[in-house]
Amino acid sequence: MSFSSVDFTSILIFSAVLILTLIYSKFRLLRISVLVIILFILFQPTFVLLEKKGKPNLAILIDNSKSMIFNQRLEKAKKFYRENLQLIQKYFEADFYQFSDKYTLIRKSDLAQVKADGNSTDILNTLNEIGANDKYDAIFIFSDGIDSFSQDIRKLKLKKPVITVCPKEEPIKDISIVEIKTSDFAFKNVPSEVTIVFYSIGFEGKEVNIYIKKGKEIVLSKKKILDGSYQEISFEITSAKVGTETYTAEIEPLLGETVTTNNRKNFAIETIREKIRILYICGQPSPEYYFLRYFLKSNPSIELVSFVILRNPEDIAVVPEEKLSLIPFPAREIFLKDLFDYDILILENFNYSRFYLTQDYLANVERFVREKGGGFLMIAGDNAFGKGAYFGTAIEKILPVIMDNPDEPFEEGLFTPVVVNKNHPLSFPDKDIYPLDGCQHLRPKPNTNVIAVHPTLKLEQKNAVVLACMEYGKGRTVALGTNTTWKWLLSPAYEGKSDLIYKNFWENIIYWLSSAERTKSLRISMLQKIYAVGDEIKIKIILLDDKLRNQKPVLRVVDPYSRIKKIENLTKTTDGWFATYIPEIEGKYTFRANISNLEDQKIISVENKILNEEFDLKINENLLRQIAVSTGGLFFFSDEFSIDEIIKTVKKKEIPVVSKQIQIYLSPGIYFLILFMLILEWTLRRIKGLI
Amino acid sequence: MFRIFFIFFLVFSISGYGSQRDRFVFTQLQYDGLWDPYPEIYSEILNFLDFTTSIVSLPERRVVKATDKELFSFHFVIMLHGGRFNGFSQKEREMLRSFLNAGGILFIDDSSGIVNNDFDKKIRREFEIILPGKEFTKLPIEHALYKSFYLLRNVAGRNLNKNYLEEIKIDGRTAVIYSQNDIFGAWAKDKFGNYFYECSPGDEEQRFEAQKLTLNLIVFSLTGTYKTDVIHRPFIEQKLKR
Repeated sequence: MSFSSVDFTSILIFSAVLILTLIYSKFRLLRISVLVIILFILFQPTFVLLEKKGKPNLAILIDNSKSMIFNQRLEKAKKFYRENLQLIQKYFEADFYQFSDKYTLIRKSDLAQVKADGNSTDILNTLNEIGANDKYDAIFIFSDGIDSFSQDIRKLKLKKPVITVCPKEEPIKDISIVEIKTSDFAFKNVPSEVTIVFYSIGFEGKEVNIYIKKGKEIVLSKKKILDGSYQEISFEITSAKVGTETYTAEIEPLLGETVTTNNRKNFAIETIREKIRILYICGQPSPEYYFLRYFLKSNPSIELVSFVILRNPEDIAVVPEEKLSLIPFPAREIFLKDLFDYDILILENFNYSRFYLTQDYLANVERFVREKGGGFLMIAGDNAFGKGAYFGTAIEKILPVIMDNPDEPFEEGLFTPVVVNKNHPLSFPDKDIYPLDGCQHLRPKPNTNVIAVHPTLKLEQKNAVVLACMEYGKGRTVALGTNTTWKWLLSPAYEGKSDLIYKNFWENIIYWLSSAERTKSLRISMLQKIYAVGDEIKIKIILLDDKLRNQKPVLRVVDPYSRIKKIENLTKTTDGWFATYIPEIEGKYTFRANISNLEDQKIISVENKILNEEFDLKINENLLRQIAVSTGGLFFFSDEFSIDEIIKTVKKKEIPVVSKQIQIYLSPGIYFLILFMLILEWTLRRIKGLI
Repeated sequence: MFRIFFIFFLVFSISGYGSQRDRFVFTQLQYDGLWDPYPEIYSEILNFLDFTTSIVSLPERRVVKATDKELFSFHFVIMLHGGRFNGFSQKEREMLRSFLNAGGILFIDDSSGIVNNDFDKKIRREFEIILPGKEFTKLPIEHALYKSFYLLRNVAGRNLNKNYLEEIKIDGRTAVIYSQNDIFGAWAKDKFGNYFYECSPGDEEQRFEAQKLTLNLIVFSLTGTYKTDVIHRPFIEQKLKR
């Protein structure tokens, strides 16, 4: 019998009525009986019939993590349940769950639709959580035992028997790439280490070929003897091309290997320049040369080699050669030997014919742009373009402008260039800029990018080109029709304005010509993007600007709870600083380094355990056996299933269950009883003449 | 007719303001004082420059005041001192500061021939105001100025008052060069074409050294530290050993 709570006000009213009734009534017994019954009804009495349980309850689990794909394990699990479930349910009540790192209650009919799509498996935690439900007498689990998280059996708190089942398989033979450790960027032409971590089983003592591929082309290869465990192999990749390139690490499949899809893994490395190498040749000393050379020299990401012709063959020497600082112009070395070591060639006001440079030299410049992807810039002057006798040469082919013969005039006078292509990276703001002085007569070639033109000088009805560019072969070229951009440094100073236009103008040209993004002076580098809790994270802070290298950066980490912590263990290295950090919880970590207004950050992910679903494919029979033993359960292979053993192991728990419930307060009989007793009491009082 | 007009236009444009292009311009600073002790020497210097180097120059002198907007049209300005200097005005100081900070170069040559004179004190005080926190330091003999064209082993000038030049650097760049040896005085001639001053104590050899130093100064103003680049070092060191 059970009772519900009752309203306190009702009890007060009822008590008052009871007291008054007892005071004024002669047939107290009847009335008291009626009132007691009413009081009884107020508590909403319910009759509950309990009986002992019939069948023990089982939670039936099916592993749906990715490792169940291999060897058709999931299909074997489904087949097992299809064949044995009827028998199991004859003796047990069953609920069904699918699980990987999470678990979900499913219907029996859904078992056939379960897909192996779980990224990781957490067997022990799943058993702890489902087993906490008192309803279940035991847990029945079909799994391959591959657990991505803790495999410490002491973490299993369950006191119910667990019946573990796994498919019986021939020993797995597999080689799989677990992880690729590499910095996400490397310097151009500087070797960068790439380490492949791989796992093998079943091929102990065998030798495999391991490749680094770019597309289908094998870039590097090594051999390694397999030892049936986790191994590492390192390569040094050197890229001559700036930009991000995707590589593939591949271990050549061996005969009889169970799965070959895990033998390859892609990774990307961004190649940046340590320095943009520029060769700058100028035909005569000029303010343009003075300022541009200083500007290029001041940029830490540029390595400049420059030559300026100080004396022409016709100039008089008033002292012996040894009293002059002049050196012979190394034309052959520059144009035929060393040119391909540079990224950009600048010719300013330079007439090649005065220095007996043959057409072969110029053809090599064309090859430098077309084949090597070099940048070429010609700057105006009395010895440039047509006036420099480049008409009809290989240089004419690579320039984005049409030039005339050496007799073409040079436009004198101040002018303010007009920008006609405002969307190109070489574009510059032409509003309120300061005039330049003198402009070459240049016309645009078809299909080239004209960036700026002379406001008034017309050549064949088109404004003369001041700045134009084009892509040629693998490289890029720019033609600049003036050599007085230095005016943009000095002229704004008169009005107290900044020299930004000059700096931006030249930076844009240099970076566009070198096909490089602006190199960041500060970078954080870590080998991996995913770490495990407790791993030591090695952090490199690379400083590309020599001026910054003696300054100590500030390194902070933001942990998954958004707590900011300063990392103090910085030590100096040749190219910057080094620090370590050990994460204690899983989640995202952001590392930020600051130095002199510069900042770089990297985000990494820390996980409880690195996922092993795709490389560690061997059935973990040992874990499943341990689970069974520690919980007093059973372990067997799917083809050795015995219901009798399970029945013996799983005992019925003596918990009474409700078989029937009668809500007395809703029964009409009790109200008839009250009515009867009231009528009886009234009748007796009538007989006695009390009413 | 068109040709005559074109030639006229060309001559006009070369001699007129705003047509210097990339040519070297002999620009001299005018200030309150005796700023122009040698008004004719520029043509001698430019002739020498044209004959011996690849530098193309305007065949004339430009004179600018520190307060002129035109100061910012020239990157190299020469300040000669003829014996009286009344200091710069506040506006002149501000303009010179802007000019030097923007990349301009100022060469100061004391033509008075007197050591530690009033000009020396005044010009140092001026630059304490113009470029606060910076001061004149000795220009080492390894400086690019001494090898920008001629290989020079010593300082020269009409007088040898100091065996060094001085400089003020801005962001690692030599922005102000100061001589107390009257380098430009070595060029001065009378109306008969004879040198106006004797050079002491080295006489004509010293004059030639002063003239070479003048040329180096101009080449330096157009090439900067070019001659200290790695590629030149072995050649220059070898020549200096001879």
